[in-house]
Amino acid sequence: MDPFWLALSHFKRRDYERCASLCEGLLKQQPGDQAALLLQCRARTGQNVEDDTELEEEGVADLMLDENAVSTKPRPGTSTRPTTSSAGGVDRPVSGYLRPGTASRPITAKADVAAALARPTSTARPITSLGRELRLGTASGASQALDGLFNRGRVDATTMAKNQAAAKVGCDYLLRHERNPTAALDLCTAALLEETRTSWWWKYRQGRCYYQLGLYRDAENALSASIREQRMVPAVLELAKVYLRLDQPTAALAVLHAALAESPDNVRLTMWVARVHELVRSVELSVGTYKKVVELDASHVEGLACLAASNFYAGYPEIGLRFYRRLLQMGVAGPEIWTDVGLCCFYSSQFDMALGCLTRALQLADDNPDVWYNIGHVAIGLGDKDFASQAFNIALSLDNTHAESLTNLGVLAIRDHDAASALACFASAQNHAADSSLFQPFFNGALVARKLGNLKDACTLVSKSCEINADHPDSNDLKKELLRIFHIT
Amino acid sequence: MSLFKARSWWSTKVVEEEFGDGGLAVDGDGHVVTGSLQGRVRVHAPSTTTHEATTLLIEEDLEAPVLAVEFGRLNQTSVALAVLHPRKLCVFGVEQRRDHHELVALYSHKLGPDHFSAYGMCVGGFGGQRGGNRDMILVQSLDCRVVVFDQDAQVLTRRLADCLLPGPVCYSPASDSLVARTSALELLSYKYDAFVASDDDQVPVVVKGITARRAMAADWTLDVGEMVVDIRSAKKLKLVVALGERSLFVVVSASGALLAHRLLEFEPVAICTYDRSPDSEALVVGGLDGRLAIFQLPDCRTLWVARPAHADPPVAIQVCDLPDNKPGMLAVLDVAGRASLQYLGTEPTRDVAVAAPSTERYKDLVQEMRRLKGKLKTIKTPPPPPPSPSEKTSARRRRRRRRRRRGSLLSIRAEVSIDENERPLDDEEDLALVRIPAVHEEYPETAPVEESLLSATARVWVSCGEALDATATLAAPAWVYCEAPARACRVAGTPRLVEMVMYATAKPPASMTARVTATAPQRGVASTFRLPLNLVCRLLVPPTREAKYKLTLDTDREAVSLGLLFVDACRRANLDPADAATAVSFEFWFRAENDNAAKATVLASKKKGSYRVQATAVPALWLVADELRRRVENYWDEVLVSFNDDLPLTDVYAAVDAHHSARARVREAESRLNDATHELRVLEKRILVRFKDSRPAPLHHLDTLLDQSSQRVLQLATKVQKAQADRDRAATILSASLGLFLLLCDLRFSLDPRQSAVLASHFNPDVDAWNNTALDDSRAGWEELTDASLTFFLKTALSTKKNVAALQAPQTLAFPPTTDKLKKHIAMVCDRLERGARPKTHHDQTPHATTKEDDQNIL
Repeated sequence: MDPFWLALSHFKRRDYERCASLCEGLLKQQPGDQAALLLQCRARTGQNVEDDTELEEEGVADLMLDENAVSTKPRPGTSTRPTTSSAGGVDRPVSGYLRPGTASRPITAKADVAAALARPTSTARPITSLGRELRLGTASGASQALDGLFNRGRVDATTMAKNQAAAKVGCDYLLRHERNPTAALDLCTAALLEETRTSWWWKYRQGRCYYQLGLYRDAENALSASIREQRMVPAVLELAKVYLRLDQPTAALAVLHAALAESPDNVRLTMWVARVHELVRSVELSVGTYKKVVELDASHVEGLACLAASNFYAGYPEIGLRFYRRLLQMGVAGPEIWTDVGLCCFYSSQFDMALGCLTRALQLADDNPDVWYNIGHVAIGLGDKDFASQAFNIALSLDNTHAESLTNLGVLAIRDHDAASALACFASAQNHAADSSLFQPFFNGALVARKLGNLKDACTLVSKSCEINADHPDSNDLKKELLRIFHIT
Repeated sequence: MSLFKARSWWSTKVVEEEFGDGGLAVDGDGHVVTGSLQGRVRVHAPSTTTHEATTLLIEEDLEAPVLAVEFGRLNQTSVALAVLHPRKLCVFGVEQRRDHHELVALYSHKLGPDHFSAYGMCVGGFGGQRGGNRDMILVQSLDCRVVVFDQDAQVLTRRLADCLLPGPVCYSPASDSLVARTSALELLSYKYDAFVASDDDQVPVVVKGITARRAMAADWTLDVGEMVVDIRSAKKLKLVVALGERSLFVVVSASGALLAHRLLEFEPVAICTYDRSPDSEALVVGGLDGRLAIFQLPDCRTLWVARPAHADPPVAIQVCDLPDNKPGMLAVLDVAGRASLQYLGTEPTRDVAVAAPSTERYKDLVQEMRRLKGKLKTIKTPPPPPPSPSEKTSARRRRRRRRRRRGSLLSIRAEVSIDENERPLDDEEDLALVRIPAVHEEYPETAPVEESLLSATARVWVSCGEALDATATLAAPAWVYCEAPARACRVAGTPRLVEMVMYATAKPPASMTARVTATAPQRGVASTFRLPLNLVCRLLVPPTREAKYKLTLDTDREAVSLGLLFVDACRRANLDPADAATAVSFEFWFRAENDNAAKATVLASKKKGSYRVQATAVPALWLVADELRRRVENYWDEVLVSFNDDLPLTDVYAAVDAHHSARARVREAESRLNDATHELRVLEKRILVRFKDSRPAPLHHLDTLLDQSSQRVLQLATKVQKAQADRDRAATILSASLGLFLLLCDLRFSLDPRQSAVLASHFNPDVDAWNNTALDDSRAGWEELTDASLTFFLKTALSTKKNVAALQAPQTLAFPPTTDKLKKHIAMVCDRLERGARPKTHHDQTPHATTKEDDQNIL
């Protein structure tokens, strides 16, 4: 068989590695073979492709080096950042909170994408939002021929831009494989100067480059221009992403709605609308939109999972259970989903099922402290204190900083009238919960301290609890009482 | 993924053969044809009723790789099978001969005069009605040339424009056009007429000496931005569907307008259009994970998703109608070489039920857990959660008590003995003990005293009933240098000896007490001991009269010979104790304000039974006076030592002021350092921003600024270090002054030990420790803390009123600008003591008041 024909066939079947190696062989025989070069380039790009339309997590380094001045005042409803007054309430963790980690959300089917995402994070370095875009230079699997073609020293963007095909393929290669947005941007600019007929694609790529360089305003301009020319879904999503990064969810929604007006049945756009609603914590709108997503595509994993979670938190565990069951039937399996199913069963009073599901979760998760914590929770619900404390102890043996387990162990200790060890549990839970929104160890510690007559500690702890969750009525009552004792009104 | 699974109706698998993307064809009679790269063409007539062998009608080896097979009206108007080889195109008819079927070669074309290697083909009625009711074949080569054959004639040869990689070509009968992709990620449509009208690039047309060629004019182009891997046409809706790497594009075939663009959640590999009903069409997409998704055209709404019957990803999909009224079967050819006919069943998958473990197992589990808990109880106490610092000691005490109650043998004991207290040091032995420690060049004060290499050895015995790893830690005052303050040792049964060598340094001493701690897992014990006097000073012969500070201590017994009192110092100086009956002088290692070594002298007055202590520095005075008092009290079984002069408040005030101003200097230096580092950070950030920028603004000497600012930070940091060293020295002197002050208070007002402890606890004489905590935790320093505690002291324990009034709200502690208030409070304390008030100890107070005091004190 002709190796080039085979390479083309492998490319179509997404077997990029074999395609690239075949092209490599061809290029060794005939270094000037343009077609093989182009195909190899495309295959290498395909190996590193990731879904551009997923929202990345904002890393610590981003926050530190973020020069985009955004008003620090709370803007409830129009900002994705949490408002300082905890008016939204801690009562419901936003399910999207776990989303950007990508591991927690069952992405429909992208084993290779997941691998691509996992690779750069193995290096220990502060993750910026472009963390997964960045790669170590040594890991480049590019052939010598490709390095030759895109050697920054040798190739000139203007010359390259003259050849449309090579320029487009090269631009993607630079952006995705070499992770060199600066070079790609040069190429985009040159191509836009070169091209007589206007092209949304080049402007879209330009916007992407700007986005990766962190120049969000420029990205916004380029993407808006691209959309004006032709409203393509990826460009719309990219623009929405830029707006979210600029913390302007309303603008993002406007862009998405404008695109939806043109193609009302687009699943991806609808899903994004739902996500943005979720980010700004308008739960009802988000749930409504997720429902629409599921109407449009009944096997949409994210939509189903979000609906399940929202039903669970809204106090309808039976309905949440139905959604989770559907996900399970669809073949999405993992410890998270089994845990969720178990909890739904538990809250809808199907205790035997609950333990079975959690056992399954344990089998899949290979001893996860969170699963054990949930088992302990179920055991408390069943009234089996020994079992519960054993479960919490196992959770702690797996992760000795598991604050929730420590708190619950403390509560169990109070039940055993062992105030000292309860206090000790709460104290270490407080140490470990310092950076989370867990106020329970503080409040519980305050209660016990109050009972023991240690008013000063009680006051300190309850103040901390009020700081974390200003809406907790019991904390507020206790604080008032303590202050009255101290004659401070 | 989906709830439903596609059901396999019929399937056959060929091993050790590979198939190309065009290796599957179906005709209207329900025949499924596969052609492999190994050159075999097979014709199947699928059926579930007959044996598998009989469904294979024909298997023929054509001896050249089969790239594609396709049915079309290729034999005049009857259906024939086109088979594409890399160099040859053959057309066969399928004929039935009595009991078997046969492939009959109708005609064949050798491809290309030169290096023509075929990529793929497209069969269609090019030219519409003009071409008659028959199909033509378009063959594309690997270098993007196309050849069109009309039955047994070659019609034309063209080269596709802007095309480097050969790709899918699709004929759209609605607009009579050919849709292809370009390498520039675009879709391109040519009218067949334009195709014909353009010139063949192989034959240059020479007009008037100029080589010219009519180029093919594209009907429309559409920038899709993705590499298109497959194109299909939907005849009824007059659409073209293009499959990109990740999305579907639905395009109007006549105008090139994009109707829908759907991003797929999976990786698509094969598509196929089919008639869903007489007036609607649908699209089947096969995913890399094997799934089959059905989309409605033209809006790409999901109609159905099915999990595959076989896990391998498909290579080609066709929809065929079987003769006996079985329409819409999906013919799928997958990577593993399996050809199958599938239908979209509604039967849900089996692996649904959550198998609840049986109750018996639960019983076993419960029993096992009981056994385990019993075991755990016998082995150890329940796993102790990490206790908080405040709870640590009480928890430990409780645990120890519990252990003892159970008669367990676990215990730990620490003993401290110091060799120098007991016997005079032999020079040789002494030298053998001494090792020269490293001298810190930057801080000469921390170096041990050079001339003598004076050292003391602490011997610590650690013992425990069971074998465990313990750590002995020595916490010596700052003026003592200890090479290894923490030592790990393995303890088992018999006491274990740990020796720790301490060297004297030239820092002013503030305390003579050291503390040794032994810790092991879940156990700990501590013990304190006094450092020998010989470590801090040596006897001066003859006695000096040099003095700046003086005080007199009276006793109700006759004065003791000083040589007997300080016998250890005399022995060390090789002086007969009888020669120093009335006067001894000590020379300390640290320097007084006049920059000479500090000296202290004790003079005994035979007649009055009083001692006069004088020194050139406060620490020296305090140490000698304290030592003298202890030794006198040790010498007589019962003796009353008293002090009858006025308290030396001015010296205390001077020390307080010196410490206050030293702290103020540290604060100022730190604040300047803070400003400088802030400036440095701002500069760094600006430079970083430029570094991050793709088109950075010029530096404008920012680098020079950064350099200078970092130099400044270094200078300021040195200054802070110096200020801190000064502050530490001032703190030591203050400590000593306070110690002396408390000693004199004790003697003057004859306080009992408990009362003097209460008094000392309010003066916080360990100034250095407070300064260090203030530094680390940004808490209050000595001045504000002592001020607050004295205020509290005056209002409660030293209060003249009977009932302690409710106190007002506590104020926050802040660094005071002056020390006037503090001095006033010290004076008031002295005044009250003078007038006969004595501090109330905890035993005098009700428990209720105790809690109250605790609350107020900390809040």
